[in-house]
Amino acid sequence: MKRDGKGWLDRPANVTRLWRWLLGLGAALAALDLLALVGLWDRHTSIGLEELPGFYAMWGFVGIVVLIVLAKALRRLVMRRENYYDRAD
Amino acid sequence: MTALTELPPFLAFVVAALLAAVTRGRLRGAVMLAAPLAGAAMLWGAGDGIHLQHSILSVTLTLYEVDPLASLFGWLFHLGAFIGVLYALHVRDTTQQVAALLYAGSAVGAAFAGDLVTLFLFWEGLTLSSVFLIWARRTPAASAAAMRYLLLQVTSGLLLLAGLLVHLRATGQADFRPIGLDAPGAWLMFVGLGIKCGFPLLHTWLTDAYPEATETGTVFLCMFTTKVAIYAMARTFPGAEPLVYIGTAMTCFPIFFAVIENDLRKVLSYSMINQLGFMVCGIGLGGTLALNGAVGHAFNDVLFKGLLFMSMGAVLYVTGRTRASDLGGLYKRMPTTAALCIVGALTISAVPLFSAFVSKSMVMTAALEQDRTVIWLFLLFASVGVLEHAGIKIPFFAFFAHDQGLDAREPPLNMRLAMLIAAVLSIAIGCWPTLLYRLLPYPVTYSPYDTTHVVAQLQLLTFGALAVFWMMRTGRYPHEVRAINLDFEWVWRRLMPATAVYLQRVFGPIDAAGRRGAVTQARRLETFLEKHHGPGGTLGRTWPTGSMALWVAVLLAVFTLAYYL
Repeated sequence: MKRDGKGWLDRPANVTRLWRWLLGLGAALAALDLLALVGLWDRHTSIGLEELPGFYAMWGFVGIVVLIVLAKALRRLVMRRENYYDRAD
Repeated sequence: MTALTELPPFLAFVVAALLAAVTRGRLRGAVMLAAPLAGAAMLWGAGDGIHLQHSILSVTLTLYEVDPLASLFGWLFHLGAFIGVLYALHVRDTTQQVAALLYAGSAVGAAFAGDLVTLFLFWEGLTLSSVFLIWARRTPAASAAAMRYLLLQVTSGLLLLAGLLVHLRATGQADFRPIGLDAPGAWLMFVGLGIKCGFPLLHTWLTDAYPEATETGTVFLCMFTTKVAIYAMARTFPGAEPLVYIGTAMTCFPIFFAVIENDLRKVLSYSMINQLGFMVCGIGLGGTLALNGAVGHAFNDVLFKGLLFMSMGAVLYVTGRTRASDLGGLYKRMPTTAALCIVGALTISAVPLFSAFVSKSMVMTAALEQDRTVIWLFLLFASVGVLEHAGIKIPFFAFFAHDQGLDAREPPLNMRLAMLIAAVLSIAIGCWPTLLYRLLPYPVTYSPYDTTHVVAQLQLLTFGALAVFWMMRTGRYPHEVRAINLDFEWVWRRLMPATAVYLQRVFGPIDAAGRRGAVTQARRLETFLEKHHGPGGTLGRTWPTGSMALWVAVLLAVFTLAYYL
């Protein structure tokens, strides 16, 4: 890694590459659920929800989206300038 | 060696603190590093049972009692103290160094307390020593935050004291063991412990003060106070139903604040409440699996949360900044710190092969085994939230994001070594969970490395990461803004003072009019009394003795006359 100048991650092409790798990993992991669906993989689950194909993937993706959308709404409610508390505290 | 094992390990820290106060330079560094090692040596030979008791008045203080649960936390606090001291070895500030040793010593003392009175003494020791680590930043903001911190911490101690006195009077004993919420004084103690556990709405001391402490002080703070509280809660209220809901709330609410917070050490403070939530929930679930998970997670948390706070402390030390909006691109100039921070981030996200995966899975599995599906779903949501704020946000905004061109370098060797120890242990426990299992208070039959479980966790995390990446690429991710977010402390920093001012404005005139009226009436009464009883008044006049004798004679005459009649 060069101390200064451009690092590997400063090149947009590499960020896109990283994004594709992550997509590929996600696709591969999601495909494992299909293995279980056609009976090639016997999973150890405790509740029915876990058997649902793509349950964990959905919960992860939707969870983050909901979290960020709600957090942005929260920001409207609670965000103040940095010196908000400075006067007569 | 028998004599040595009879002495409580906290003494090593107290003695070292006294020596540190009178030495300086390298010698002080050596003394400080020796403290946790000496304490560990004292602990090494001590078997289970009571080692030291002392009677004061009618109370028997059990200063040193060892059992498996106490041992787990005792070893943890020694390990944490060693890492913390190593991290802070370059610091030349007597206040901070002495306070840090006394603070670690209080935590060790609390771990081996055999009764609630002894626990209370060390509980107060934690409060009084830790506040100096915040004051030591020596900024007006830190001083103010320290006072607010002190207020809540002292309240916690008072509640614990009140509860234990009620309990002691009603039951005649104050053993540090399961009490149950129905016992006399139990709720007072429950809330007292809850404050230091970071219960919702009572948590603000943590998110308020931890980001204001010194870069090394916060590392100590994150290791001891809350973990002692978790330990005390696990000892006194295991299986208490309210803890399940309180813990779940603690895992969920901070993640929203963590997403929008700009100060990265404050993000970690919210993250800390989230992790404490998993432990509190585990204690509430009760049963050997959940309790093992809760205290095991406390053990791992000291290492990985310590590691994250150390990496942000290193960034603060080198650049003087911790706001996400002011940082970025540091991976080129601080590659080692960045790598170690990423290890912490992967650990806290509970990626398989890292320690949190082992302990958090125990709590989650226990929730499923008890058929608490809704609780489990919330915990699962909170787990993805951890990935977002601690797993991605912390390393991303500090070391990657947009390069601010900051002049930075790696932190001193001692800081890097301390981070390395925490990182190696986090990975080691993740890869060989038996390292941790041997320390847990109950026998472990659980193994997290089941293919189904590992795949499920990887799916959860990968798709969570995909969601963050997607939102960043499409501009949906909230931008870092130089701003603060109001939390519950707004109630006493703004609402209560504002209410006082308002009440003053409304009732002030009424009060003033009332006082004026009262004064006028008093003056009038005074004038009246002056008129009749004053020097010139009818009743206040001095009468000559002659007229007195005359009146007596008249009275006598009237009396004699009345008698004959």
